[in-house]
Amino acid sequence: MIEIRDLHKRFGDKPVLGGVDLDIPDGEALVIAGRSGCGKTVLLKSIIGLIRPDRGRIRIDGEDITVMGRRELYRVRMKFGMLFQGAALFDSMTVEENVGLPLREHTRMSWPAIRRKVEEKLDLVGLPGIGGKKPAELSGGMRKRVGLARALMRDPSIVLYDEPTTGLDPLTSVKINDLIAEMNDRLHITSIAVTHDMLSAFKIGKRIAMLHEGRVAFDGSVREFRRSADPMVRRFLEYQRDGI
Amino acid sequence: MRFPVSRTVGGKIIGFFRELGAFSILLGQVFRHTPGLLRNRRLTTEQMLRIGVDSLPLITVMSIFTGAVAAWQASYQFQGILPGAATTDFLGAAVSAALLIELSPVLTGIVISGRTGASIAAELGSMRVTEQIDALETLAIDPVRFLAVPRFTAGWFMMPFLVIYSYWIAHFGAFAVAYFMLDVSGPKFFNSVQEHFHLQNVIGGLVKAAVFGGGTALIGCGVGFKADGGAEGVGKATIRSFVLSAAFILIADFVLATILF
Repeated sequence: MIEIRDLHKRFGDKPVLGGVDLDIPDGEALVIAGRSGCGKTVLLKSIIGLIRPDRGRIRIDGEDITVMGRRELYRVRMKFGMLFQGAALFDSMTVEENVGLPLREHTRMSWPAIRRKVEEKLDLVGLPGIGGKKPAELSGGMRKRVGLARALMRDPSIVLYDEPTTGLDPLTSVKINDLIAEMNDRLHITSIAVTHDMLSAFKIGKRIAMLHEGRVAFDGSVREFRRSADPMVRRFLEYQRDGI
Repeated sequence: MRFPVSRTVGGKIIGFFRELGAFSILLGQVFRHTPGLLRNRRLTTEQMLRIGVDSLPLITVMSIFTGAVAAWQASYQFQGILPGAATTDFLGAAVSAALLIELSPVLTGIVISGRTGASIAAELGSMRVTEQIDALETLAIDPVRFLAVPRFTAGWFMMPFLVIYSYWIAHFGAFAVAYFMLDVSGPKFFNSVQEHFHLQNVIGGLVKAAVFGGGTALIGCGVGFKADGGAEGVGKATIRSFVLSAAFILIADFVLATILF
């Protein structure tokens, strides 16, 4: 369970989050939506402790991460996996070194055992046999899938997705959305995705929280979101439809 | 803005101390993680190869010509000071002392700061702007332990070896000029080197080398970790790393000279 209370964050003079309240129960597939620059990624990075909020609380399974030291934070982060917008694969490593890194660093497993698990995860994301390639040899969609394999490597209970389809062509976006939706159903993990792509949001989310001016302006199921008469939600959906 | 000049100067001074504080904190974090070095031995070995072996061609060229210029300049300057044959009698000793104490450590340090320090800043800066360092954090891997400790260790450990290599090559360059251009025989040159050889000069030079190597790597890491603003930010970090490293080497050279010699 993730509980966010009265979360505030500003960068210089610019307030980004102005009192976010959100509860995310275990197994939820939540999409945080909103226009570019509304603070979605800041909220996502705050949930995993990459950004320290100015005020407010974030509790992960009852533990407040906003007051934790680095060591404690690392312990809590073992519950997480995160897929970054640009996949954030380590350029100097091969795909199998990238995906195997969390186990190499945190377990005493032998490298052959880690390689077997890497191949299993690459299979899961539909990329068997590419372990020897370097990230530079992969397409954008393949990089995202390798990033997802790395995020799933420690069998996390919570997976965060930062703009999972940004920069991908429509066909690859559909594949990535299908893959994330399949992971949510198969692995029963809590998934939190940040996106302004509503096609993606409707595919991977069961619930949508919409950020507007630093606060949660809408929180409900996908169905409620699509049928909402709230002028702000309607405007956002119209912008999306018009491709703005 | 009533006092723009004082405000600018004041801001720079505060910025300098802030930067110094940030590097001191990074150094403390590196020392804290150093006991776990064995865990990072593969990464450290990679960095040692990169800083050490890969730098050899550049160090070779730099050292040959440093030795050659040192011999030529020493001979030229002795002409007005020492009588007749004495100009060549002391050539080996004078060049050797300059190489051991000053020229090889400082010039190797400057070359490494341009080649390795800047490349560390560019690599880590690029990792910062493409969220690879954030990715390490989300995997509960401390970037200081994983990235800075191997580079810092490789820096201070490999630099003395590079400087020892530079000593040999620079002496060879100096001898080549003495023999072929200044008509100094081999025994005369090397006897002069040997007669005035002091082990303290070598040890002092190697201590300097270790400090320059560690400092350069630390500056590269610190600047790289703080890079922002995409490709432009990485470019700025690279230049900044070289400027700071070069300044550090020159200042540390003076401080160490007053302590060691």
